[in-house]
Amino acid sequence: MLVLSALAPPAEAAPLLGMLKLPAKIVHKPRYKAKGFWKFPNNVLNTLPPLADARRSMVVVLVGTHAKGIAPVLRMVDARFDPPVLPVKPGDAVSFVNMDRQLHLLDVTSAFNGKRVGPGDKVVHTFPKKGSYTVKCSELPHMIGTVFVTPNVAAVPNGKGEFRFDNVDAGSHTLRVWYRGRYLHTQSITMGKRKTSLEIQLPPITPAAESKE
Amino acid sequence: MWFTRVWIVLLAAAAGLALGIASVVSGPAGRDLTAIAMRGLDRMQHNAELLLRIQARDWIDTVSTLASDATVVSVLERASDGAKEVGKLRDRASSRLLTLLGQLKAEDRPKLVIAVDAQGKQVYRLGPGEERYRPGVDGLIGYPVISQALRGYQLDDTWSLDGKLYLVAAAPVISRARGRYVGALLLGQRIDAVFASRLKARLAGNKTNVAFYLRGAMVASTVSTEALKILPRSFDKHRKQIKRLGRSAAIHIGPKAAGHTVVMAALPGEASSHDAFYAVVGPPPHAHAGLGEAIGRVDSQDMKRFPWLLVIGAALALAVLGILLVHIEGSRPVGRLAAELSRLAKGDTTRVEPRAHAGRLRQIAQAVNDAIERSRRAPGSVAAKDINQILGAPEDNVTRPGLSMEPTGTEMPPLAAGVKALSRIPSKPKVEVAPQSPMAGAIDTSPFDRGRDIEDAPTMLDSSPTFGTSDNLPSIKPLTDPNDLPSVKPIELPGAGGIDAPDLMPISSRGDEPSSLNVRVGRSSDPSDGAETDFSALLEDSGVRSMSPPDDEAHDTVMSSVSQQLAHRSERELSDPDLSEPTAVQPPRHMPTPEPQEPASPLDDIDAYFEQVYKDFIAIKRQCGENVENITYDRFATKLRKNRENLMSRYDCKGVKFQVYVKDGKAALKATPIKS
Repeated sequence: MLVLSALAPPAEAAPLLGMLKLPAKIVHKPRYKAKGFWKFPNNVLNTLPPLADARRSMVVVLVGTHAKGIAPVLRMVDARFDPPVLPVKPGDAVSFVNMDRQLHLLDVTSAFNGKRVGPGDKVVHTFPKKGSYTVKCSELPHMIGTVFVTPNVAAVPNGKGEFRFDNVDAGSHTLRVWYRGRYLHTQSITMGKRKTSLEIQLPPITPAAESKE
Repeated sequence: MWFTRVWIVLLAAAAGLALGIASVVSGPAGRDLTAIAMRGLDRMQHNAELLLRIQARDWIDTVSTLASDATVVSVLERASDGAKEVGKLRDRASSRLLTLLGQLKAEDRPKLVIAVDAQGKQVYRLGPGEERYRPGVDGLIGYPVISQALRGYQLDDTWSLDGKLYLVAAAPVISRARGRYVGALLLGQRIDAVFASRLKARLAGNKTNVAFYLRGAMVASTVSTEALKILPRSFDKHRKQIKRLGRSAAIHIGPKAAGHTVVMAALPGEASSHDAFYAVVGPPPHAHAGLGEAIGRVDSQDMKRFPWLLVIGAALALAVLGILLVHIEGSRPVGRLAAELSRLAKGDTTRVEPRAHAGRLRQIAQAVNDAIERSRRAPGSVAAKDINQILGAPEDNVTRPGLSMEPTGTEMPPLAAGVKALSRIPSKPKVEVAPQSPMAGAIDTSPFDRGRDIEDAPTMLDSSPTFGTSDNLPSIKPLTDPNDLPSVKPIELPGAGGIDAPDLMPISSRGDEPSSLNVRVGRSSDPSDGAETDFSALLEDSGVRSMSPPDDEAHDTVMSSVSQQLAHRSERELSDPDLSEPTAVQPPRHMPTPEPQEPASPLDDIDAYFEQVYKDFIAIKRQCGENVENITYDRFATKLRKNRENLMSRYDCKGVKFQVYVKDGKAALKATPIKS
């Protein structure tokens, strides 16, 4: 369901704000599945939902709009990749920066394996072709990230599903939502000259989508 | 011996089968033992898994207890609220936690303690990495165990830090007053030799060991062997199975005798990504225990179940059967043959009867007979000499086949002197056979002087015919049954009522053989019985045309045979000087022709007897399809006579009986000395 509302007077380029809404029941399996012998809730407070929200692993792509040349950075902080998915353009040089106090051994699909990245170190790699590339730390198996290479402008939602595109040209555009190797949702939007907000109701995430990546 | 052989084969087969079964059964038994050991090791691994799980649960309980401490909660609550004095908070947390940890047993004290605020930032850290972390800055929220604990879960995990393996447990720190999670506390227990020893101690079975591996290296073990160092390679081989089932099947590593049986199982948690696993190590299996080792394991309980009665009964039955078969088929026939050979050695018999034996013993008997035969026919042997005397010496010392003569009995009663006297018959008398004689039809007189057999044969007559080639020579065999000896009847000389003593006179006598007597037959001087017999006339009537007496004793007539009565009378005459004058025995003028249908006794008319034997021999040879052209009566009779004389002189018997029979499809002749 697409809701468009004109929030500002028409302009040549206006921001696009959006919200991704998850379905009532969502299957979002963590990419790292290992666990210990026991896992049970405490008997004092209710447990909280997982920190890893599925929307943190999604990318909203605005087809036909080219992003500006901003050097992308994938940080390794608190024993995880931040952001979990990093959208870049083909040919962008991605910097992998270790902000932890421990060693990380970086594995990038189709690029390198076991590259040592010490605390405070940085590794740069260029992704010439579009596609999704998995980034792992072989030292900490729970550290799994994605570099999503696309020629279009892409935005990563926050934990609440909110995303934003600045300076979207007026006119018709196609908006797609990518998740773990495939596009979950595609819709056409018409941008005016004012700030535009939209809300996207995502379809159920099937296990096929989970395992596609 | 057939049954004995079958029995032996069956016994050998049974023994081989029993041995084979005993040898083979140890294999399945060993496999059963191995399977039992494998299952036992599987249970050990299961027990180890349970112990590790219990250990993790205990660890969670411990960390939950510490996380509920008010000081800890207060410190982390303030840290989660963004307090600036992180250093102070760390010190407070350190002080309190160390106090709490000091209350634990030494072996239960953790080697890793981490306290994080609600954002996962480390407030306090004890153990590996404590010198590197920055309080309030460095977070660990990427670790699932931390993030899950911050969401309210109590859980455990395994970590690999600085090449060491840790079993960690985390619990949320809850602010009851504010009703929220303000942080999490994590305790880590290093898996080292102490940990492994404690685990082994809690495992049932002293022979079971445990070993822990990380990144292809053994980090902790209760046993140190080279074989366990290669276990990571086995882990690689069984990785899929371990990933699917959580553990491997029981496998054998190292040498057969000194190896180990192990079950590998992956450790849960993050460390599994670094090939963290543990192995339960058992003793080497007994899969391939040999028969000796299997027997060595027999204990008293096994012996109680041993079927003694069945085994001993079967052994006794087999033994009795074997002894019986050996006796029936071995000892008894051999004993019979031995007894018969003993009789042969003693001279009670002259040959072994093969038909009384079977199988190889029959062959042995036949071989003995053949050996006796060859021995007697060998040049120079007595038997050979006898036979040569019968049929003449073979040319070039070649023994004539198919001709044999064996006397029956070894001890013969003294013969009449008259019989002995026949051996002194003058050699080479000229004899002509009248064609009209009844004997002429059986005598081939034409080839008297042909062939070297005739020339070389040591016969009394130069012109005596030969028996032909060696193939049609008659074979002479002795009687095997003494009962077959013919009865001896005295000769009833026609018209004389017996031969008077004066009719017989010795021609010559050897000084060393007083019993030997040559009888000269002349005219009887006894007018009372009118028995003056012209023996020459008798011979003429019998078909002998003319006979030339010896030069020195013109009136003596050579007798080819005398009766027993005649011989006795001759002996009396020799002992009585009054009767020593030679007396010619005059046979009847017209001597009846002997009836060929009635075989004459060997002690009666010897010529008639020889003629009858000759006729029988010729008839048998014709029946056998043999050539009889070269066999003449004269030659035949001469040889029989010579043989008879030799036998009589040798065995001191009263006569010799000749029998014609068929041997191997040919006519044969055997001579039997007559004792009485």
